Amino acid sequence: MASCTNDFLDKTPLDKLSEDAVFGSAALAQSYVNALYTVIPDPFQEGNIGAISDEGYFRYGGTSTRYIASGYMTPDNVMYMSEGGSAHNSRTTILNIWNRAYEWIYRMNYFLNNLDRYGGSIDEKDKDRLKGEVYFLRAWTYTNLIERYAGVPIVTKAYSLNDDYNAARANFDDCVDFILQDLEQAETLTPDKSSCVKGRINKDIVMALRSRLTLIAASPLFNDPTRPEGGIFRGTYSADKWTRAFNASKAIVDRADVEGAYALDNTYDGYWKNTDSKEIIWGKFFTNTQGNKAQLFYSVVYFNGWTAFEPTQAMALDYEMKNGKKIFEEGSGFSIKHPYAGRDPRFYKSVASPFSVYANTDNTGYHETVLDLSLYYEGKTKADFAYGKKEPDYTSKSKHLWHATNNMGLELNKWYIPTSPITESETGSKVYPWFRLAEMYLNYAEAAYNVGKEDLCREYLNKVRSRSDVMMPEVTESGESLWDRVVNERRVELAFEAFRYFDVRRWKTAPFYENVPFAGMRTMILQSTSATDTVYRVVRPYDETKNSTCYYWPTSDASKAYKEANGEDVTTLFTYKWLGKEYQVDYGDCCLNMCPTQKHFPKVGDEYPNYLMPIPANEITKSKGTIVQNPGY
Amino acid sequence: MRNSSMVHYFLSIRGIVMAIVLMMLATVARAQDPGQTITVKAENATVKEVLSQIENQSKYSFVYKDADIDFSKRVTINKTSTVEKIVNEIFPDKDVLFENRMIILTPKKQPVQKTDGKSVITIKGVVTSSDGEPQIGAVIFVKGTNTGAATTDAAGKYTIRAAENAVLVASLLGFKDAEQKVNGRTVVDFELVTEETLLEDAVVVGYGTQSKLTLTGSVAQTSGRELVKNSSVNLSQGLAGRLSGVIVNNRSGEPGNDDAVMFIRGRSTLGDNSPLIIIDGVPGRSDEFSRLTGDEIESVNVLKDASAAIYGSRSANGVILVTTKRGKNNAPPQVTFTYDLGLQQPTRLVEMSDAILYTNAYNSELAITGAAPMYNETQLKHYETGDDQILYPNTDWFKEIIKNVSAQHKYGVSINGGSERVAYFIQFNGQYQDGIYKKSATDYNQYSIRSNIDVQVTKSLKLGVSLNARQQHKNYSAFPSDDYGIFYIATRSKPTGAAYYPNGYLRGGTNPAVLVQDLTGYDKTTINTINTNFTANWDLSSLTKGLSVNGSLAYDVVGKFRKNWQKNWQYWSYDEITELYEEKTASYWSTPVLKEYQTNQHTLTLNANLNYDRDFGGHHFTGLLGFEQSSYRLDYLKAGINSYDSDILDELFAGSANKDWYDINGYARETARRSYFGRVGYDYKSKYLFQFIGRFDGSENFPEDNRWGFFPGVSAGWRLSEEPFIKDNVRWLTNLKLRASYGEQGNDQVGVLSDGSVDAFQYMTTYEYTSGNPYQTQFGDSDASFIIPGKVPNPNVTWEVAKTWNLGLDGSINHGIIGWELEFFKTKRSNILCTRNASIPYYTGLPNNLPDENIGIVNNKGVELQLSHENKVASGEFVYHVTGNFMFAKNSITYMDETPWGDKHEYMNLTGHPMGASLYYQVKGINKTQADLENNPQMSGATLGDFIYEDLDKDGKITSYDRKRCDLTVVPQIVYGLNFDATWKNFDLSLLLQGQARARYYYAPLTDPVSGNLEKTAAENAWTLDNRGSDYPRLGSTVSNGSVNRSSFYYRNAAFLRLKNLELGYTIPQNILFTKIGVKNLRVYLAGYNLLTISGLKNVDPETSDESYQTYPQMRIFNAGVKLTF
Repeated sequence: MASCTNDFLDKTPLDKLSEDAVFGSAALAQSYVNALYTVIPDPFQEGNIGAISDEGYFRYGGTSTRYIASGYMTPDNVMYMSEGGSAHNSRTTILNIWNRAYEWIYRMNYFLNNLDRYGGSIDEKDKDRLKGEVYFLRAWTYTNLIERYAGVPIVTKAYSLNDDYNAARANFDDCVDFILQDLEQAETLTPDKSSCVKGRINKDIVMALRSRLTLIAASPLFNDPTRPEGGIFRGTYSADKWTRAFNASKAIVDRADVEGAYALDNTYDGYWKNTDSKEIIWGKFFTNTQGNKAQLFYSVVYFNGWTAFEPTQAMALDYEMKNGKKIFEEGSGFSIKHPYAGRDPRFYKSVASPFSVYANTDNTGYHETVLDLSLYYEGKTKADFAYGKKEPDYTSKSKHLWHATNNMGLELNKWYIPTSPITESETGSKVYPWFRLAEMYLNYAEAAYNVGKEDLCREYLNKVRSRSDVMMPEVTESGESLWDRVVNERRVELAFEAFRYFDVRRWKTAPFYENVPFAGMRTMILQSTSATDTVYRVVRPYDETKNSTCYYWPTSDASKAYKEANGEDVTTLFTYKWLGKEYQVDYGDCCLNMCPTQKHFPKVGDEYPNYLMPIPANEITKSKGTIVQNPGY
Repeated sequence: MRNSSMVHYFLSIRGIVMAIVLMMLATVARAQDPGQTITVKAENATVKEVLSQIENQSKYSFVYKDADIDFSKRVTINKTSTVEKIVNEIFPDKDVLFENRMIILTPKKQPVQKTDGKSVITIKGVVTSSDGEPQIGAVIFVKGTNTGAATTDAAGKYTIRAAENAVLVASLLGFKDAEQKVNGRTVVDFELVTEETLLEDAVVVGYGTQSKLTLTGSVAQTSGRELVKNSSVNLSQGLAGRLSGVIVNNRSGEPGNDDAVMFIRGRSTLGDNSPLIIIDGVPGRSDEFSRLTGDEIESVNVLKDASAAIYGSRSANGVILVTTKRGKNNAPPQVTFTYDLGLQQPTRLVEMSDAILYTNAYNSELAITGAAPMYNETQLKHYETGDDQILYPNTDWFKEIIKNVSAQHKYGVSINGGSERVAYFIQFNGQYQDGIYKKSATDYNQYSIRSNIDVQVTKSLKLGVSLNARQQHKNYSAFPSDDYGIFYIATRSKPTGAAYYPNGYLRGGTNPAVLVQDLTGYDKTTINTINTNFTANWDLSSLTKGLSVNGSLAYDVVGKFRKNWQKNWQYWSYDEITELYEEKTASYWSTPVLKEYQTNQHTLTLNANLNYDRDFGGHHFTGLLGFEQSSYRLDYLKAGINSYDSDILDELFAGSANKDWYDINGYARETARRSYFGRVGYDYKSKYLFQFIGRFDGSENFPEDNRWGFFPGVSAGWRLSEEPFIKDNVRWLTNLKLRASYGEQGNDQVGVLSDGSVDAFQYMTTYEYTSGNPYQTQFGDSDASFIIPGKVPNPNVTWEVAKTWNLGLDGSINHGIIGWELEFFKTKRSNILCTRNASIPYYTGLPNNLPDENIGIVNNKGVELQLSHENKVASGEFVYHVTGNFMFAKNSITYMDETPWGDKHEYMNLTGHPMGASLYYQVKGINKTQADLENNPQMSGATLGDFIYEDLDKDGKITSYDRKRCDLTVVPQIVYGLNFDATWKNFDLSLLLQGQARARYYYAPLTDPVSGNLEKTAAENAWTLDNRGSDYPRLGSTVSNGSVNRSSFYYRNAAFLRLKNLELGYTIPQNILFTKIGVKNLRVYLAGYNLLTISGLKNVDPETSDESYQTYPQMRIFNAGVKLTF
């Protein structure tokens, strides 16, 4: 009976492709590999990773981004950051990548292990190229994993239904070696830049990743002279790791400086506005129909954006004046009357400050507007804001549009393209640079510093600073002061590019930067009958704070008054070392009495757990203990 | 003791009531019907020949004593009439009793001689049943009066005063009324003949019907007559409370998307639990059911146990059989008009804070962490006084977007009747349901026409054609109601915002008042459905007595066309300084976007079966052998353009010519099934009943080796009341039947996709193109295509198997003073298709791509009870009946893939608990003091006003291991219904109470003032520095957040009792005018739906399952209708 019925019951899927088809056709196999490129999401998430570092602030409460920033991250709640729960959960996908990364590693492994079984019609050259791309993507994925979790299970097989699932986390050094092997394969199999279309993996991209990977592996978090023994959580200490990083960086830097394959863009914003920028080594090139959402997430509410990310005062503080001095240094020329005047040109391209020109494009065309984030106080003078007084009522010009939708007093400019519309369907074709030359220069400078080549370090810092539209004064320091310059240069040049969060961790300086009072600054326009006065005050970003009892900035007077009244020191005086000198930066007493610091880098016993991400709790449970948790969680 | 007191209780009822009949839920088509039409032609034939003709046509057998019948008599008759009339005509001297499938002939008692007399005399007599048993509680009254009625005593005796020429009527429930002229007699005895009740009615089972009396399976029934009382336009909602053993929950009230969720005897599988719905014998019409109207339905039968095994691989979740109305032969045309006007309003809406509560609660929340207030004194004052509606509005968003009442209309015309050879039922029906919104873009329109025609072509061949065409229009705004749509936004919109300025100008922002209108565009779907059925019934009695063949061909076509147009809209912006309004354009997309979706589905179902039904001197055999196959194809096409220069024309040709903006997709799906099935039944004198069912099913859902399955069902019954030891001794027990069944049924719903279709190819690796991946990237300067693998293949995938046991005890007392059906059931579902994503670690890369595997085991058991009671009061003018049903069903997972929680955490295990049982933190109280914070283990980030959770694993920390498995879910374990119907004179009243218990609803109240408005009770009661005694948690986004850390605090009892339906009707008495214009019947009625709900849940409708207040609410409906028959 079965035989006569089989024809009728034999159906094939008409909405899916078979494996023979996919692995037997060069075009379809290419499409499979194309999909693997999406393994690590771009950092243009609503909850930008910068909002977890000391770069910025995420204005939407109740979210995982706020939780992580506050130091409340646990193996439990890291799960709902990416699975189930509310709509906000995808906001930190870039950080909690465990599940996603391994899902794509499975697909990569499946490809590498099965391509040769099929592929009759794919010629060997194409196969090699495809495999090379996948080896790179696997190395890329594992690099992202170890940067977050340290040693992870090295999975090279494609698991099937009836396997034993008993993998354990490998030692950190073994992971790095494994990645370097994949990179070697990738370097052999992938083509040169010249014979490769934009966006696809070539040998230079492999070198760039090797530069980044070896730098991470050489950094104190994973290569710690005070804890030289290696294991899952860090490598065995070796000064040679810096040499390895130096050599890896030199290789890609030479491609630019010797072979001329890359060059710094003439303009600082070129690498996100110009998809053909010579500075880009590898990027994510957004498609015409699947564009990025940076435009929507980060632009101002006034133009239908969400202002999901606002730069902090701590970030603004680190932009030097045009003369190369920090604002608190003597002779910096800084004036509180014009707090954002005369800064490093990169400030203006990265940050939108009050009364700067903000432009946008909608369906009626291109518009320029003065970015007015001020609070308006009619008939009030400075005296009305004296210490201990309740804040006077304010009248705002357009209450619901400007200031009510901004907390920190600053907006993000980086990634923003004024000539593209701000809508849900962001489609402006743009690029997010995964690797750009400036990073390679800075990697090289950092490695050079650590192998004792200070000249080379200064040379490459200054190369970055001498971009034609930046032209900052040359760095001349040496020793520890030079290190301060390395740190600050990365902060400023690579601002809002998902570096800072990892940098302060691999340098093990996060407890310092992420426990600072977390402040913004608001502009207040006092309108007396005769004259208009502008006052800036530092505010904590916790809420829309228009009514906080906050004071003028800097508030050393207020701090003194507070000490007199309360007998306590104002702990918001933040001791800041810069080029060998100590400075005190006052974030205003609002932070002192009113709220806990928003950013918090907790210490548990001797461990700072937040150096590494927690492994999701249910992964530990599911593994029945073969996967161990990171320290401190 | 208990038993005898029960008997006494029943007897005392007998003394009080006048007449009682067991009344089951509904009247259904009868297989053996004294009213059925037959044609008898006999020319000088013997009585036996005529009897045989009647037996053949009517399926009745005659029962008589040979001595009583004169077999020498010759009969000449040529007549088409009802069985009853014909038999009475042939045997004018016999009492004719129809019982079960027997016609019992007994000699008629000689009528008493007439005498004249007009004075009032005292009359005595005895009322007995036809078997001579005296009847207590029979009412004797003078015809045409309401007064002076007498009731019989335990010996069946009565005494009444009446005029000597009066006509006496004896009335007793369960029997036909009997009349006798007194004619001066002082002794008038009555012998009452049993009335046909539902006990003798037929029940629709798979591929045929069965007598309710000899039924051995578990079948719940309701009828179109009941379902028309449902005021909702969605028929599935009308099933709630009417069907024993069926859980019906209405989760959303949105027009066009308000199908109820139905589970038969609860849930038994971790996969798809939805029952198979078969309309007029054709499976695959599940979507149609809720769109039928009560007027076109004859009956709805639900197969709950092994009796469903006849549907094999799709029967494990139970089967719902829907039969539409057909015409009757030899009936004059009858035209019926109906019209219903309904007014709908939400049953409940969550109460949100007003601006005063919101602003104050926000400030208090901030104060807990020492933060400064959000609103200053001046602002608070503005909100309190409401003196500045431009800058400080106070908005109740529900008032802003929801009308007080919204209309719905239902109207229909039907014509039915039949000649000798042709019977027809034709119905046109229309429905309109408005959305509840102000300036609503939401509404639902439906037009349908049905034509069911049967033709008796020859004496033995009957053909039928059933056509049903329906057009549905679902109209919505471009913004959805559910799923982060209108209600999500309306509940979260702050009361400090407003929809309009005081001058009526529309405000900007995400304004719910915009979303409900068509300002943003529209989302419209038109569904065209054509169902066709061609049936043939060929009586082969000429070959062998009792043999017949049925065949059917059903071809269904469903076409769906959806058009989604999103455009920009204008709003106004107010400038506080200039005090001027400026008009602006808002949009979700920078330019208008149009998407069109076309889906075409074709289903062809062929069926043939051979039937045999014959009685050999009390040995009654039935047989069925059948074949069925169906094939289905779906074609899907999507075309869209994501850029338009203007919104003047919403058509594809007017979109951007740039192909980058094109959005196109298309695919097809095919399924095929083939089945062989059969049924064998035997009973001896309707006393000992046996049945065997088997189905051999093949489905393309599975790999070749696992494709065919065999599904048997056996059942048996014993009618104890037919045994002498009951029949002779316990005479009041008029029916008692014990029945039991066992079946093995299947469920082949693997990996049900979001569109309801099945992911059929899980046994092979498949790949698909992805689009819309936000992380997509470009290579070179052009977009690239992306292929991702589907699920990991499972080459062993096959059926789920349900082993179902059922034990039933049915009975009735005195033909129905009380009737009951008591059932115990148990199902063991194994091979349940589920994934292992709870136990396989993520580093394998598998958990998101796992196929279904046949690994789960779930047990489900419970009890059902149906009780009925019927009564006639005051000379039959007041008649009422009450039916009640109750079910308790509880499932328990025996095995499923589960996270290995470890030894110390058994309280987290799902095994041994019902499906859907979730993990909840156990709330002990609130951190009211700093000491509370320090002395109790806390979750990371806890502050004052947050919950104190129980540290279940006692490790000093609150982690995800401190969650406890809690059994109750939104699917109730107990459901019940109580139906009360009464008629008095020309009035009729119908009342349906429905309820559920042992259900819990988890909700996450809105408590974060930053993200939006606050739920009123949460805001009023929140813990603050000024309200330190409160047992409610603080507001804000904290560890007490209900959507992130699910806790016992928000796990609330969802039991309810609801006045589901109330209908009061009045039939206008016949009058001259009616006669003149030919009106046969005119009835007007008022009805209500969901009129009253008693529930502990105050914030939402207890049928809601959504946890975050974002579904369109359930409706309360006030309905007025008229039914006019010509």
